[in-house]
Amino acid sequence: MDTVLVCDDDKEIVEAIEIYLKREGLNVLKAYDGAQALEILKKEDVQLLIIDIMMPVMDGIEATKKIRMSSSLPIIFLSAKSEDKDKINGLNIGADDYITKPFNPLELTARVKSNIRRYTSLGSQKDENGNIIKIDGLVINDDNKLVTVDGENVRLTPIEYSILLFLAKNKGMVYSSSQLYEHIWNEKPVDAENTVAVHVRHIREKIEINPREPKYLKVVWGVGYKIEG
Amino acid sequence: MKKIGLRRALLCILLHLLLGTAFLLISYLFLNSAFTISYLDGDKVYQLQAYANSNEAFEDSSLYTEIYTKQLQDIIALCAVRNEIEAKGASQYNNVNIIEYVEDTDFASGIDKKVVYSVDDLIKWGRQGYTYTRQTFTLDEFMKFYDSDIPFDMIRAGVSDGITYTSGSDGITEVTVTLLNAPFETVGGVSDITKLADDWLEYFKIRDSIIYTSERFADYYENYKNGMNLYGNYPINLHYVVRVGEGNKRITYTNCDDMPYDISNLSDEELNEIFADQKDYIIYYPNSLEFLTFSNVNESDLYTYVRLYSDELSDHMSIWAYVGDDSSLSQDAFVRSKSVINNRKNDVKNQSIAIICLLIAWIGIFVFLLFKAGVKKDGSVYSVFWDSIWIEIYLVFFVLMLVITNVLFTMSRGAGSAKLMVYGDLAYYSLFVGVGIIDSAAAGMLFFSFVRRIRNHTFANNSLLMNCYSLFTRVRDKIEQSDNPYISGLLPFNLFLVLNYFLIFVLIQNFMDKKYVLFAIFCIVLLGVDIYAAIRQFRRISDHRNLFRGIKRISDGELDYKVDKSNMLEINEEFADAVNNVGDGIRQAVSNSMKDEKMRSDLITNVSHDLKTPLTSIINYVDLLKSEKINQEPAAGYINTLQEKSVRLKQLLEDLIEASRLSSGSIEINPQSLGINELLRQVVGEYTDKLDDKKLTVIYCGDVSSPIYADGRLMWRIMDNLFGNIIKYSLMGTRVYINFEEAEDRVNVSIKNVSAEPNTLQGNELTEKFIRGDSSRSTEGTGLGLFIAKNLTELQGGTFEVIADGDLFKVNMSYKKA
Repeated sequence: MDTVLVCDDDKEIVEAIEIYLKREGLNVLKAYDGAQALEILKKEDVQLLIIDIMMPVMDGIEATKKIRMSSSLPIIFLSAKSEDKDKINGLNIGADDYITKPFNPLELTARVKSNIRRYTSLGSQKDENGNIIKIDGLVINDDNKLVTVDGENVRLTPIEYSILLFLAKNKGMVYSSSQLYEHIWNEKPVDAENTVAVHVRHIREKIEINPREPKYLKVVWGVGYKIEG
Repeated sequence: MKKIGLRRALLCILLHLLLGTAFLLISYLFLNSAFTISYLDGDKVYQLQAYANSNEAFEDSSLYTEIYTKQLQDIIALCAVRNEIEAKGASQYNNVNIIEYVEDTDFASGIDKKVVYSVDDLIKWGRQGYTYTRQTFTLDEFMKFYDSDIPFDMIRAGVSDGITYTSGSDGITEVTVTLLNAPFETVGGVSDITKLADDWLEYFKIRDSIIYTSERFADYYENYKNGMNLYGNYPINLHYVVRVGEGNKRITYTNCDDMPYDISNLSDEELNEIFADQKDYIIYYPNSLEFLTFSNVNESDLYTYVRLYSDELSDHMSIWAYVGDDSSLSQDAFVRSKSVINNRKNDVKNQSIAIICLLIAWIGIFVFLLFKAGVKKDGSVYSVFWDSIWIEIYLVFFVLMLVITNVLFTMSRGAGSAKLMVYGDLAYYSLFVGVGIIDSAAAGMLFFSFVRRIRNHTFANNSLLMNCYSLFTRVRDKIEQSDNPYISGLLPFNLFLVLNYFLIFVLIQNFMDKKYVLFAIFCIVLLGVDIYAAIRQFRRISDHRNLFRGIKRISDGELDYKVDKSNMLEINEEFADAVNNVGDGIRQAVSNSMKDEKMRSDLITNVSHDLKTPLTSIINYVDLLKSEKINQEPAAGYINTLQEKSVRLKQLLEDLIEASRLSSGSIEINPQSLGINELLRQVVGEYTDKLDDKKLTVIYCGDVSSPIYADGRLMWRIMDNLFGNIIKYSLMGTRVYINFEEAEDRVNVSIKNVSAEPNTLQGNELTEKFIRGDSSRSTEGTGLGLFIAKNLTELQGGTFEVIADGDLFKVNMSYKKA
């Protein structure tokens, strides 16, 4: 059973998270500041850390810095700060994910599970062959047309699969709706944007934990779509 | 310090004494710098400097020639007089027919009276002067005094000084005659002069002749006496023979009594031979233009005298002369001059060296003290109480002393010294020593004080000129900085004009009066005034340009720009300060207002963050409560309401943070080329499900190929807000129109939808913070959405307009083309 350490100076939040995670079958340890979290990490075997940024005694940033000196434990920041610069800063320090308060419980558990899966399955993955495309937790197996995200199977329609595969093969490249339409449908685009946009939205809803803040399939507004390299 | 001060004081005293001593020696040189030689026409003073400095022999000097010439001239004069007195008078005739001396023969012709007096009597008469008796005659008596007539005209014309007359109604009544009293008788024994004449005219003639002749003989006598004194009584080195007359009347005058010949018995030719062997001889026959000499004497200098005395000397006068070399004759002019000059040469040589040494020492100590003035041993500076007196006083004193010294030296040259000497040795030497010491002290006070002031930086404070200048600048600044424009503007201008006109007037005046020095001085003054005014005007204008540039830069937003006032006029410095303060003030105000805005935004952000933590718990626990599957009404309904409102609270907080960040301007923009078509279809794609839920149909009108220049993320947030509203407020089952239109440099987008609830507000009111359609308050949405959309659009240089026309809700946007 995987153990998650939850660290926040607000006891109610910690307890709520505990309830959600226990429902998912995870073991939960609790800490109320960064120093306590570090203490527990020394003693216990922990698979994931959820940590608040603003805390007394030792804040989340400092704790993360210390942890990152010796461990690659997945860390999810949980913060009231929702601005882009805060997120970027948190991720640069070494966090694996960033969730803003107030959070959606479903999103939280999904992200926790996803991070644990990635962490624990690391190294046990089979060698890739030419037909398997792996981007972080997203794996597209073109042989059996299977798509998994953090190990979970995702059901995609053939069109959705084609779009995802095309973008994954050309990761980092931005394609406009009409370009995608031409490649996928092999037709002159007519009202392409609308069609492609709807499909991309659906793909995102299936593969992303939070479609509004996509991790894999990103919208470049006014330009097109891409999968981050 | 005390020791050094003492040493310096002693050195100063030494310095002054050195110059005093130098002056003493100079005064001694002055004292014996002249000597006097007596001639017939008075004493002549010779400056020694002219002769003492040269190395030529005395016999070759111009002084020697001058003495020789002047003595020969004197001898010519003396012989002339001797010829009159000795030859004509005493020695041969002894008596003088005075008529012979009257040159005006026109009137005297026909007078054959022998009016003869003895020479002795004439000389006595001339020396003692003349007395007169005024005798009045009636006209009749006057006319009959002599037998011969005298014309009335002559009486009227006043024949001579001696006649006056009074006239009555019937003509001349009385005649008054001035008669010469005669203290001596003629050789014939007549004492009354009127008896010597035959008529009145003759009387006056005789009377005047007697006066003329006796005066002349008195003069002869004076010259004779002096000449015999100089050249007759004492043996002198100049030997001469003068011969006058011809044939057996030829007379010889000579001082060559010591010669082994009887000079008077020798013939002219024999004399020639004898004299031609002598030193610096002169043999001169003016009449036959013969002039032989071995000296530098000029013939014309002698001829002038021969001409002068041509009446007394006869045409056949001739001169022989030479200069002997008997140095035992101590009174002799040649011997005396030679010895004085030789002594002088030695004096000058010795004392010059001493004086130069003293002066060098003085300069050395002076320069040393000059370097040390105002500096203590440890290098620090000090000043003395008399350094606070105007330095011009020292300067004037110094110049005055220079003038006094110059006057003293000029006065003392030559005979001057001897004149000063009459006040006694002590007074004479003290005068020079005193002037020397005061000169040294004046120079010391001026220059040492000057150096001390420079070192103490007190020069400007303690100078009359600098004080005047600073007074001038103070008055000038007062005038220029006056708030009254008549004083600050018109007064200087008018002063300048008046001064200029005045100076030009004075210039012209001086030019007309041919006072060119004054003209030049006023020219310089005028030029100075004009150049000064021009420079000030130039600086004023250049300052104004600088100030203007400064104000312009500040007004263009360069708030920390500072006008450089280091080279500005005083009046403009104040101006520059004001300009610089404006910049500071604006910057302060801007930074204050930015700080305020930042604080407010930070406050909202921080409060929102703090609100989020409890809200998290609320949302979470409501969610947990819901998962407890409470189906009992109304609890289930309450839980739903709680969930709904807590989510709305969350949205509200996020919008609030967004809005406050917008108004504090802390949003970054990364604009790029975007396809507006693509963008809106992407957005619609995102909202497909929700649009479908409300059965809304999106209709695109128009097509735009040109990309816009905007930030994609911000555009998404704008559209997100707009579509959020559309979803919330649109009437179910209606259409949403999206219009594209391309303008010259912009792309216009408008989105229209039909409102579900009646709307009474103006479109622009909808974009204000926290204002929404009245009745929509009960539904979800924060009202901040339009505000945020509008602000984000405007941040990117776009326009955003909301039009609410009845149920039609329309948003018009325009964006810049890429």
